[in-house]
Amino acid sequence: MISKKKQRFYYIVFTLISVGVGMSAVLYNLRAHLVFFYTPEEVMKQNPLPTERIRLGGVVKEKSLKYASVGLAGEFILTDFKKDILVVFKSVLPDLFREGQGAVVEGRFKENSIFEAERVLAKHDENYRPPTSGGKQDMVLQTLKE
Amino acid sequence: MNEFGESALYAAMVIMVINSVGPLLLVKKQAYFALQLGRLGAISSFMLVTFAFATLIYAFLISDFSLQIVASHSHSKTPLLYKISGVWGNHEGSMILWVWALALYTLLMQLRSRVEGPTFIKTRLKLLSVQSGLSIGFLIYILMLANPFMPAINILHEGQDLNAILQDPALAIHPPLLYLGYVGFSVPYSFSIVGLLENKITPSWARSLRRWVLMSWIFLTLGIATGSFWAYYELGWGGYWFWDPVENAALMPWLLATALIHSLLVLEKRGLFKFWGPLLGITSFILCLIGTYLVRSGVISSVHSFATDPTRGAFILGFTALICSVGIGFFIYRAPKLASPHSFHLLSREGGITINNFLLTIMAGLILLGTLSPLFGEFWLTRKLVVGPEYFQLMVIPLTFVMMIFMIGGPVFVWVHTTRKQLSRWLNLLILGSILILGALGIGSCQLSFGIVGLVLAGLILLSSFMELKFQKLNLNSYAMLFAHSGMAIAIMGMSILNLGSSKTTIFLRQGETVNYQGYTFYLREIKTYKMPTYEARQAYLEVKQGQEKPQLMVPEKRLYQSSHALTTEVALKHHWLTDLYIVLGGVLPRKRWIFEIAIYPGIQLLWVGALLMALGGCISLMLSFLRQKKTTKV
Repeated sequence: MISKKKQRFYYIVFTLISVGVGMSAVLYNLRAHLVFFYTPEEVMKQNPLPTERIRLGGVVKEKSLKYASVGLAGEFILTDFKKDILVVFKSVLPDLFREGQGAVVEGRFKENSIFEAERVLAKHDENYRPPTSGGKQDMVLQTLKE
Repeated sequence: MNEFGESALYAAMVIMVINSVGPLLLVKKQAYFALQLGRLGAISSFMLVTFAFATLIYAFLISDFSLQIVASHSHSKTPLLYKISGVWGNHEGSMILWVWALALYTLLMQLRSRVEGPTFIKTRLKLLSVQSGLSIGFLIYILMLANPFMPAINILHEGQDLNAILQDPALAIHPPLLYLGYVGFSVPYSFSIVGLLENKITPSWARSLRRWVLMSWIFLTLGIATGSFWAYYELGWGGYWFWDPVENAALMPWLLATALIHSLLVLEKRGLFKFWGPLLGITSFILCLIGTYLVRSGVISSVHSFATDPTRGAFILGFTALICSVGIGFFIYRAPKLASPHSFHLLSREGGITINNFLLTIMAGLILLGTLSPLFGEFWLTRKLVVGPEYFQLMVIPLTFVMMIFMIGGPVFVWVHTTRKQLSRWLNLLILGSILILGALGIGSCQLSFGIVGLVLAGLILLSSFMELKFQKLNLNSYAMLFAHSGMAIAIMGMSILNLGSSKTTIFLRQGETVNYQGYTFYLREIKTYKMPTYEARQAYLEVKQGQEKPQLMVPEKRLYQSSHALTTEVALKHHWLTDLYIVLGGVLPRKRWIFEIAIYPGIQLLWVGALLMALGGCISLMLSFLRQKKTTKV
């Protein structure tokens, strides 16, 4: 027969171990699925370029959107008016996506610092309207930073 | 008119200030007078808020562009329904809806049930003062920071129109349902505060609180379901749940409310969980406020976030902190006295509910961690980040499975102690389940996935419920549980089938071309453009044929709203039993090739059926609790 004191001791040890294991599983899982956000300038400062999945936010450069001859694939240049990054994509662009307006892309860097986007998100303001374009680049950038 | 609306809000605030202290001061000397005074206050403040709300609706109806919110959220040509629903399709208006719901709950609390002596009146008036305190907080917020009656800076002749995505019938019901659910959690909060203050966390406390929780739980369930339905069919997102911060903000209180409903049942029947019940009541309301903070402050980027005004965020955060510290303060003050009278057996109904509560709370906690991580990340790491949906899936789904294992035993477990014979039924079902899963893996050579496990467990819950129906003579109470649990099982079944069998692709069609996909044949007849009053519609006429059936016309659509230059999607859906064929019209590629996104979603209907069944189970339970009360008062 185990004494009551010992029983309680085992009980506490068991609880501590299971809570510890649980917490580390949770935190590991959380760390594994964090996606960091960069602007083109920030990410170009990194050397070497990050290899994990990241989000890039910027403005789609005017007249940079090109489609491939077959399929949906295409490319555009994402810029924060300091650095430009060539983004290639293979999926449908969202409704609010437009040249000269804000966009966020999620994906990874390939060789030659080309960004391969798995998802393209159009950035919109509080009323789901795309940020206004045309000479208001600062404002667009401001909304992006928020 | 608008000035009247604004003054009505001020008047309502004055009355609520009086209501929060006045009746309590009078209660010692003239109990009944105090009660009537409280009632009068509740009625008049409700009427005043209703009046302000009605004024706002009227301003939208007549397109009164001298108000800022009408000018930025309506248009003279907007259809009538969207003029009305536009009232709560923006930040200020939605806060009015919030306060209106709060006033409604306060009123209902005052009117309900008969009066049973001075101590009862005292409790009632304390509840009133807590509720009034909450209302005052929100009214200050509205009047100082989010005044819907703010005059427009420049008088415009035409408004900017309601945000195009929100122009959908679902907007008319989704936010009100959700808000009625959200605001309903103010009741458990005030019940918990008053219960702790008077040291009366008793079975009768649990019985009267349980009704309110059930009511808001039903609204919240329907609100979440309509929101999910809306995202699926209107927004063309091609899914029903995205683990977006705002969706999580609604899910967390739902999980805690589910836990609370169950634990209050134990408190009512067995007098256990005296410690746990009030704690859940307080935290679920705090989570609602945190949810509001997330939505309204824009600190976390979300597809739903409206405003990005730091003062608003700061106010709501401060208010939440105040409410949180009051609640937790009362709890700590009373906690040492809240011991439960006796322990219990783990394999009994109360044991099962303990496990249910434990798991639901952990789920809510993990979701909270994931939802707030971007905030912590920005604060400590000074880097922007998002948490991928995989985190939530990996955390919540396994826990749901553990809970489902105990739900299979739901009808088997009885109060106090379950007999060995009943337990063996549960074990048999579990053995059957593992054989089914292993069999599917061996014979069908399927991959072990969440889908398979979910499907088998959900099937077993249904089986177990129907066995109960066959073997036992049921009282109405068990029907409530039967409906709610099988609703849950059916919804999970739908999710599992979706997980196993959904498929999607992107196709390109020129006019007159044909494409095959998964047994369907798509033929693009033509693309037409229409001019509507507020938008331009582009419709694709697709002839869809499945096998040898007659071809059917499906018309996906894109709309371009003129005043906002926003594009929206109208999905084309075809139901075939439980399977949906889902077509979204994309853009156009060079050489007139149109993009279509096509998806097949089997089992998606089960989700909505399941949610309705859950709500129905809640309604039955609610009805029964009223009937029982009538019976006891007659005797």
